[in-house]
Amino acid sequence: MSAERLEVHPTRLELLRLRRRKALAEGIADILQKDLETLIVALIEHRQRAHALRTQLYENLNNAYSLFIETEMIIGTMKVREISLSASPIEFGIEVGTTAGVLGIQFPSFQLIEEEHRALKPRFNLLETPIQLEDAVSKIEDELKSIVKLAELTAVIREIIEIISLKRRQINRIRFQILPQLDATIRYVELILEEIERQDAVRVRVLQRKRKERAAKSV
Amino acid sequence: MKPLKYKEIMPRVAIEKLKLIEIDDLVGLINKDLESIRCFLRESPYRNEILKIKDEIDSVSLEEALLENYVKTFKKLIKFSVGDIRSLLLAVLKKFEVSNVKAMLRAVKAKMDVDEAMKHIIPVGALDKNRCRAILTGSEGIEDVINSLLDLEYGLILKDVLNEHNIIEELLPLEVALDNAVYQGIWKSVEKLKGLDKIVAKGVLGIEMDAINVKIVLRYKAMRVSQDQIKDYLMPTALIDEEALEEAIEANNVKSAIEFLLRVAENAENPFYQNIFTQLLKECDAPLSRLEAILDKASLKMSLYMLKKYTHYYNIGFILAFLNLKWFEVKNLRCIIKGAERKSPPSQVRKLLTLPDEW
Repeated sequence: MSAERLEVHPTRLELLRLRRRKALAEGIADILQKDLETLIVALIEHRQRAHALRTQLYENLNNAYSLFIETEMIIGTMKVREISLSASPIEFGIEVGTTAGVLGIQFPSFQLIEEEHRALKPRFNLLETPIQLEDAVSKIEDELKSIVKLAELTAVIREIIEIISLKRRQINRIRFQILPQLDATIRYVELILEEIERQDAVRVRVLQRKRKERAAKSV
Repeated sequence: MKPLKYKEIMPRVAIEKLKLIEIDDLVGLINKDLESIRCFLRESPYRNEILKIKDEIDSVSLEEALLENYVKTFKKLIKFSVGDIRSLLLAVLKKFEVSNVKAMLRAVKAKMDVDEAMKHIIPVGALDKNRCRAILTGSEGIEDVINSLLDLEYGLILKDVLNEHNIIEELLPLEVALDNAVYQGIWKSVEKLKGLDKIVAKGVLGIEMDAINVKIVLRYKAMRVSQDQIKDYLMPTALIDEEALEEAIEANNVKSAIEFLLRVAENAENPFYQNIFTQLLKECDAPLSRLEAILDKASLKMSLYMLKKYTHYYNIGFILAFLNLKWFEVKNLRCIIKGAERKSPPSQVRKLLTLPDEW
């Protein structure tokens, strides 16, 4: 597919301008390519961190879930359901902010805000609940921080992917649209200028010949 | 000890005891699917309750059947008992009545649908299905439940707690007050017994109460609950009195608390308690669940000990021991059923069963 050329005056000045624009576009494409590479490295790092955190989180949640099943085995499903529905919920909030990341990009940051002094108060009736339920709850509570961290990492990864796709689009636009367009225009201007040069040369030769003929007649 | 008052109840207890599932058969159920467990239970004393299950079987319906059977057996023994024995059994049955009150409080707090809430009720004593349904239907909040129960002792107990706290955000103070009242009632009934019956009942029921208190001390110490708060959750005491418990609460850590309780048991010259605390001390570095399992097992051990030590007939120990053994059977079956439903590894199910040491 041949690129469409720009509507320009085929002049030498325009050719110089076009060449400068081409050099600039190539420079921008190189910078964008380097940014893209940095972002890909950051993406891989974040992905690895998220993977490690997710594996750890799944393991800990599995342990908590296993303790929860043990509770069901000890006091029965109905009692666990009854207690869980009436137990006061764990209050917590998430503060959302931004932090400067790779290439100075603002990445989302999540902060878990826990209720103070809650751990010092028993939540369940000891006569009816085994320690496994307290352990399961405290394990899940401990993992809240990891869950929020994982959510933050996921948001950062999503942000990086979006920026990568934006950068890739920009690079592709420069490489496959702007540069071919500039090349085609430069070639066109060069062609026109060459044609003008040839016409000029012919005209000069014709003029020289006519001047010679006129000089010969006058002599 | 008057043999006359035992003449009707003892043969019944003896028959019921013979119906208990053999430990080997019980353990054999581990790793079986729910259908196999249902088939096994259909050929056991739980047959009638199991046959009532019409829908697809699950752990909830089987659990309900087991509890229904336990309460039915309990009621049967009460029917054939007289005098002090009857009073004591009625006091012990209140544990289940209170469980229904707690279930209603929780259901109302959680704004549960009435039909859903009724699944959590095992009708017993004054709180039959109709009464519970009426309370649940007519209650918008905790206060309404308490007002509906004012004709029973529970209503008055709950009202006192309500007056003390003004606003009830959590059910724990209400639940603790109910449990406390039940154990006080049981202990009062024990005190009314005479002679060997009193000694035996104090042994069997006392260890249950002491085990609960020790569990409270150990768990809340591990959770770093303040010393004053721990005292609020304590139940009536038996061999380990309030002073001893307070000293244990003040101990630096779980190990020192157990060491102190062991000294109390040594001073009281009670080899049974000594044995339990020695075992706890040996495993004090293990997870708290292990220590709680030892304390839960104490009641079973005491029941088996009573069965061996005293003559089977003409003794309240035999009745209480049987009720404990039956309760542990129900708990073990529930554990196996849930394990089967969740496809838990057999080792995990086996670990959670409360079985005699010699098995």
